[in-house]
Amino acid sequence: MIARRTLIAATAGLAAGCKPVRTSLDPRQNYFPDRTSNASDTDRRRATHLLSRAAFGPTPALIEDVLSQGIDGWIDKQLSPPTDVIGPASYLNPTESTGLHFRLNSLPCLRPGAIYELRDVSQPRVLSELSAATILRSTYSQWQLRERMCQFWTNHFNIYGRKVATARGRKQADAELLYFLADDQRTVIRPHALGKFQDLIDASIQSPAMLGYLDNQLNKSGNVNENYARELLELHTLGVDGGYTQADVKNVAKVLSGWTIEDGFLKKVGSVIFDKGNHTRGDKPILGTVINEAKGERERDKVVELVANHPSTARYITSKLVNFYCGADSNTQALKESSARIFEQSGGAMDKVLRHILLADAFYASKPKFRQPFDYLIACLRATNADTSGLGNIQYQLERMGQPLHQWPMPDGYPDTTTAWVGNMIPRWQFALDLGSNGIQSTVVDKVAVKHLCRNRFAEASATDRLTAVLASPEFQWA
Amino acid sequence: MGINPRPLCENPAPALHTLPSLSTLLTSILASWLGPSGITNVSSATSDKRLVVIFLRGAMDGASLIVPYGDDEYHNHRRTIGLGTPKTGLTDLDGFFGLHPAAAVLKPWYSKGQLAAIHAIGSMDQTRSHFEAMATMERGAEGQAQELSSGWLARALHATQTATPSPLRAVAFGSLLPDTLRGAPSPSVIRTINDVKLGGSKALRGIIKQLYEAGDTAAHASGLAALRVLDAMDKVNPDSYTPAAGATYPKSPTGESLRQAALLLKADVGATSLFLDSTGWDSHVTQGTSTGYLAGLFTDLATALAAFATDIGPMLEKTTIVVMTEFGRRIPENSALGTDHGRAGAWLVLGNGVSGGKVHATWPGLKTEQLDGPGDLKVTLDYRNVLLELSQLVFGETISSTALFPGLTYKPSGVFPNALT
Repeated sequence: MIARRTLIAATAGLAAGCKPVRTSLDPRQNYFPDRTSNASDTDRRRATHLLSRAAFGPTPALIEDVLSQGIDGWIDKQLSPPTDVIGPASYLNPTESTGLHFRLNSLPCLRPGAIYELRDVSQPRVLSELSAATILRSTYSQWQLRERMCQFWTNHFNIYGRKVATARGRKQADAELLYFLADDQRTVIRPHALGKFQDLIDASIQSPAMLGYLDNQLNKSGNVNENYARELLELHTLGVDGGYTQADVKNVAKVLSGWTIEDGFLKKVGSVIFDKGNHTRGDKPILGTVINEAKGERERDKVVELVANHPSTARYITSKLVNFYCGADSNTQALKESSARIFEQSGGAMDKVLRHILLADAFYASKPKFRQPFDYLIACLRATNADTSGLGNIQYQLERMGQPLHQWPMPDGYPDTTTAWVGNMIPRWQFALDLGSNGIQSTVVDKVAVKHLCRNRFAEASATDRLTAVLASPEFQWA
Repeated sequence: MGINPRPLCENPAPALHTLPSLSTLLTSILASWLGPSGITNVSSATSDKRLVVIFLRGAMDGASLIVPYGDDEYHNHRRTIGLGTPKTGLTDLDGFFGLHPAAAVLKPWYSKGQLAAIHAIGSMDQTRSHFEAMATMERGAEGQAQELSSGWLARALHATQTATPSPLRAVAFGSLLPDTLRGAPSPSVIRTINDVKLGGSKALRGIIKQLYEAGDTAAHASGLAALRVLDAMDKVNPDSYTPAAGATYPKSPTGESLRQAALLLKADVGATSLFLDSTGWDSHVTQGTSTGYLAGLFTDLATALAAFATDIGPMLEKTTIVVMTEFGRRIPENSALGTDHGRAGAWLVLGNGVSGGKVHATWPGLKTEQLDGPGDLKVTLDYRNVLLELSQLVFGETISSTALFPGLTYKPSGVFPNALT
């Protein structure tokens, strides 16, 4: 209904030669700028490049926005977004448009609260709402760089939502990790997306979703499970070539032994607790430092400090981040080295590292980066100024393109390379056609934006074919 | 629902004509960046062998599909859910093993020497966890501890990749890429063949073709290959497809996937490796006997396989089908008249290269002291030996065993005697 009204208003606006009118419940921002600057082509290109990578795709208004603030001004503003608010308070203290808040607040699974309350909701619904939230925020948030980093960290700390985690004390597991994922997004990823890396690791290591995903509830003294310890070193911090040994893995596992997920009757089910009886006592030499605390639960903090500040971590995280923004095929060795230095000097302050990368010449000189299905989908929605609920068929489209959210089984996250994704063009074209013909339920493109997007292209073709061809073109697959 | 009562024309009209179109801007930026990527060679030369992998998820009870009725202990362990002997309805295979009556429809292929069963096969994964055991087996690892990030079939496909293979070279039916194909060069994941179609007008297809012919990036190459597949798939209509030789597929997910797999193989669109899932095999509770829960699943699987083999007809001589599962189930029945997670299980192999008409098994015995852990069939055949032989048979002997299954000390399984290892 909202979409329809907007469309009518938009068409009326076009006919009257004026800007589309938005209702207050429309999450879309102005697509066209109020005024057009006389910026040079070079500046315009740089702004477009920045918005293709640091945002989920440019719009004419956003390009003008960057041009008027200057690239560094825009980046600085993006690096200090207001604290994320969900629930009724978001209307009193709006951090996004009312329309976006309205749509996010209509997803009950996003509400803060006891994790296990979600168990009253069906598992498919939890997954659907979490995915909708990500689609909505990536498409409509004013704080695009934060959303980009949420995407990066969610993939870096990948959790397979469909995993059935065997809780302690239960013979048969009955719930997927999905129930913990909303909490992981709210308390781990989102608040720390632009903050200190150590805080992120510290939050992640206390996340029931991560503990359950990497089997730490099975990690007990005498029967140590190394799964989490290995991924913490290999994937989350130092990297596979980070110089740790199998003994380090074993000892990190010992440090983590006893940390488990509460599942007792009348207890705070789903919270992370320390089970002293299952913790491994004694000296644990890790990366050259011996860890052994009288209070065993304190050992975890020591390990977090140790791994978050290790030089290999600085190199590994910044290298992955540079690849994320510049693509793995570009010549960015020097940028990776300088970024690692900034990571170390700033104590892992991600805002400083990001500022460095996004202002670097190597970033602007980097080759086109092939869009992953999610990036492609959101870029299409933004380029057509589409109005979407984020629910239903739009999620099926992601699945068909090969990137449903929270459903990569292995802890390494979706691959960030061209070869991983380039082979599956047909579902992208079909998506372009479905979007171009308004064939996606509760997702509607904006005719004025489409007219602008398709200007000077495929003049003889039908309206649907014109839009589909623009979105399905090889050029649109790259950012 | 509050509506912002902003009057029309509150703001001046945006100067649309002064703004470069977004698409024009993006295209021009891209044109200045994209250099030749060296992708020019377009060939479709591939092996003529085909592979179909069917993964039974949830651990199929091997002792119920391929019943060791000749082992007296079997009847003691399965007092309520045992399947008896050939005298009471089993289809005899070799005087020791019998086929579940619900799968008897497969017997003709066994008699012709095209179908074989493999028993006491499994991995070294000891966790008895579906997730871990599947992860182990799909990656082709020895056990949980071995670190391998890609799938075994993905590695085989990688090792034999041509410059521009068909986008349908590796196809998984489902909605997510299975670990078996993880890391494969551009695998396609399709729910149905209709996903490999593009709606819309002829004109649109023409425009897309023009666009993808006008460049040489990886996306252009992939797009052109996709267009060739679309052209081929235009001639294929899954809804009106009539299977050959009167083959009748069951109306079930497995039946439908195999029907579409047959269609895809016959359409000759470069599909070499097809992967299918079948779910529901985790029979902890009341699994039934010659009728009941498991019997229903066996009927479905066996009739689907029989229909597939009938349908593809002579292509069966170039096609190998393997039916695998992550582990077998406990030998003693449980108190809920089902079976719990076990160790070794049974697989089926059908078609090209199979030493058929046999149950391949080094039988470990079912006496309590012969069982593994809490009462499970011992693994006497490392599954990787079979998959290695299969890979070499399908993809050629150039595949190195160390690249495909690192750490494996190969022992011939006898299942594929002509595989060159």
